[in-house]
Amino acid sequence: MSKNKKLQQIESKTQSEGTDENIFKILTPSKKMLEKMKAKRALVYHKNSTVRVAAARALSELGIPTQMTSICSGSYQDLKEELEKEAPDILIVSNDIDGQTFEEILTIHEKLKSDRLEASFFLLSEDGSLSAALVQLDYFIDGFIVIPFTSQTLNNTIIERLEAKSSPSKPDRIFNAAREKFILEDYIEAYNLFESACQMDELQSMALYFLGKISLKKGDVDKALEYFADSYKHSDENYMCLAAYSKLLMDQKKFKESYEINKKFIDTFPIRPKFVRQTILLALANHKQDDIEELTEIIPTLRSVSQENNNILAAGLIICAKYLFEGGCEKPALKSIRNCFALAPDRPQILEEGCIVLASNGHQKKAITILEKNSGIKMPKSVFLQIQMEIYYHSEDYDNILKIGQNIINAQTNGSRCHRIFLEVAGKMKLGENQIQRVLDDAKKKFPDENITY
Amino acid sequence: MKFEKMSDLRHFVLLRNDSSGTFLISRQDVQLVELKKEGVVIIVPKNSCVVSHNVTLCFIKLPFKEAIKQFPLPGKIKGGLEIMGRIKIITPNEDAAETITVEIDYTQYDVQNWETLVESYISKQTNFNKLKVKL
Repeated sequence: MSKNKKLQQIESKTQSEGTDENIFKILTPSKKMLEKMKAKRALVYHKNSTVRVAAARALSELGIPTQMTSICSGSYQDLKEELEKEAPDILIVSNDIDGQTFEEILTIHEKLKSDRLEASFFLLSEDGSLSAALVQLDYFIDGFIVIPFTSQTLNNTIIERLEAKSSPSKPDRIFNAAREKFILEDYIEAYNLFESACQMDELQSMALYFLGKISLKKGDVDKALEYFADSYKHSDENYMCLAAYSKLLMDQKKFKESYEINKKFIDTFPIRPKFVRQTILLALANHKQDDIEELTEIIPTLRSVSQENNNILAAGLIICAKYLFEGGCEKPALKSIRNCFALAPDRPQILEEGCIVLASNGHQKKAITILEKNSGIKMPKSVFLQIQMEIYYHSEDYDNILKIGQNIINAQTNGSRCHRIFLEVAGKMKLGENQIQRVLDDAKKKFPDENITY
Repeated sequence: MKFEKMSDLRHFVLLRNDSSGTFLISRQDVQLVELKKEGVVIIVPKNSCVVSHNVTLCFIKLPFKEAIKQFPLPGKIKGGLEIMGRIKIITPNEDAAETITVEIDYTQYDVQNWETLVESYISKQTNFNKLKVKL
């Protein structure tokens, strides 16, 4: 079909069908809320002017007078200053604030506006992954708005959340009053309020979780564990409690108990990159090989748009591979290593660690091939040399160490590791005194503070 | 273990400037900002278009593994959505001087397919709105 004919068809279809108004329909705020919003201040932070304007427009349609909405697009510091100056009731900020995360901004906002029924915090995020959106369960965030947005997604998310806050239930009010004291670090009053909140069924699990947090602030770990356990007993689906409880148990080296809670946690909520390391370590500590094998299948599917997350995942796969090699599971171990390089293709540390695991488990040739294949990664020659040395060292290929080791004198290595490997191997192989002395002198010159001996 | 794929709904957008004969086919060139009823707001490299230029956009759902070396012919990419439009507003980006934000009004497009695409983003947002700390 010719292009013109096809376009004509599209045009006629456009005219005949018309648009479905519903998907762009914006909710109408209630009169009560419109009235309430007249006295509110707002602050919008985003680098892109279209996003800022759209968010400000959404706020104005909610009844916030235009002159009460400030707009900021500067640095992280500019936002902090603007936030402290304006003390806005409603804050809409981007997920990535000038290269930094939003947590500190949220803390400042909560301190400035501790009555959270009167204040709101929204995130605008270019990272539209589930992993990013789950941040709403880590903090008391009112909304996570994905970019690209539509007028419907932006306005309605804000309207729905603010409407819910404008008519709070009794438990909401009680919980909010207790949390306000917690935010203001008045832990004695917060403790009393959360203790009485425990009388209400709806609040029991969350109130007990906060009592645990207050105990932790006081340094009473045993009491905190007791409260978290109680909170878990009342609800095994309290995200905040599950996350804090399993972490505290792990910190206390109670690996068996921590494993159980963590298992409940990852069975209830989608596993996220930030919890992968903890999950792997607990599986290892409890010798759960099945979990490790399952994780090696899951981790590659968790690939995120954030490279930082992908690096965490890749590091996790290396730990899994190491364990699987030790258990004699070659095939899944090799697959894990392959996947780890795919997740973090530009990270010399991942390349090095992955190659070391391969070399230590009889796959020196593979490690060298991978290293050479990845020689295009932006890394200094000295790092390449160091990885080569490590591969040969872990596969006990001493001849090659002595061969390439001569190059370390001309290389600007970051640490003394290459020299140490060379000297250790040279001793074992009874290399000529002159060659050893040259490397030893070089090591002493480059690392005068270290006690490097032969 | 409960897990859901993190690599979720995303589109890769190609742009051909029909007025100047140039095109943007690299994955990083076009970023989606806002999906409108009869248009779109995108971020593109500076000097890639001016107001009133006619453009053709091609929306491709990710993951898409094939390499694209030229702007595809209509119907060439399975599931790709092709739309024609005109540049309405251009705003320079103060944070990234090498880019501009461009608002495009659609002139020829398949309404149903466009609304399906928009609905998928709305549905994603609706799902995310359900993720909230519960008391």
